[in-house]
Amino acid sequence: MTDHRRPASVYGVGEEPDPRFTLANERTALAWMRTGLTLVAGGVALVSVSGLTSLPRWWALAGAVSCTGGGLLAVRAVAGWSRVERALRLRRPLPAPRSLVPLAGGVLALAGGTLSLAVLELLGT
Amino acid sequence: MSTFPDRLGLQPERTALAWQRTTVSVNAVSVSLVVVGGRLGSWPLTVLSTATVILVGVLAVGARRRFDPLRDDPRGTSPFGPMLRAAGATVLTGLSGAVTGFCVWLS
Repeated sequence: MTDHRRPASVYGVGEEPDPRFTLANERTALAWMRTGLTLVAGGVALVSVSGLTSLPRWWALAGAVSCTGGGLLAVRAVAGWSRVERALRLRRPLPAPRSLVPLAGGVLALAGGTLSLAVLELLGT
Repeated sequence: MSTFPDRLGLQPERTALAWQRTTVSVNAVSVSLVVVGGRLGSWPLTVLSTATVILVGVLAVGARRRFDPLRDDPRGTSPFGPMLRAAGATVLTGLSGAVTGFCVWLS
């Protein structure tokens, strides 16, 4: 049976894996995308609070960084799905989740930054 | 017609629900951006986030339909197209928020 599915770089190699694994891969990619959306939502909240109130503009910068991180995670989600799907089709070991550590580090840095801003704000008042 | 329980079990249902959660999340963030853009008076933000809401609407229509043919052909259809649209909506939303954030920071 000719496979017309795209992209050809994924569906043109190897054999069809168990559909349960491929659906699990799809759900994992969507979970990464929702994680990115959460970062974007948090960034939008920071930007709107900074823009609509008298809070220092550094909050907007933190929001912009969070939005950027969220967008990058969405790109990562699609790239990761493609890599894992190829590994499933080629019966190779699955690639390690390389983005987990940078994600945790980024969230920690963002939390530390916003906490520092909040403490400074409190001390200032 | 396959019988219950079949090899796929409840996987298609779970995946369809994951798509629904994702489209709802993207919609919630982009709609809130439309409101924020309006309040901030930022027309690029409002235009970009409105375009995202429309894109998500297209995504939501096809999100569940992909899983109906799975009982006849377990290979199903490729999720790459819908995934690209969802990622595109997220990137658009993130870009809108980031640009607005930088503008507010520099103002």
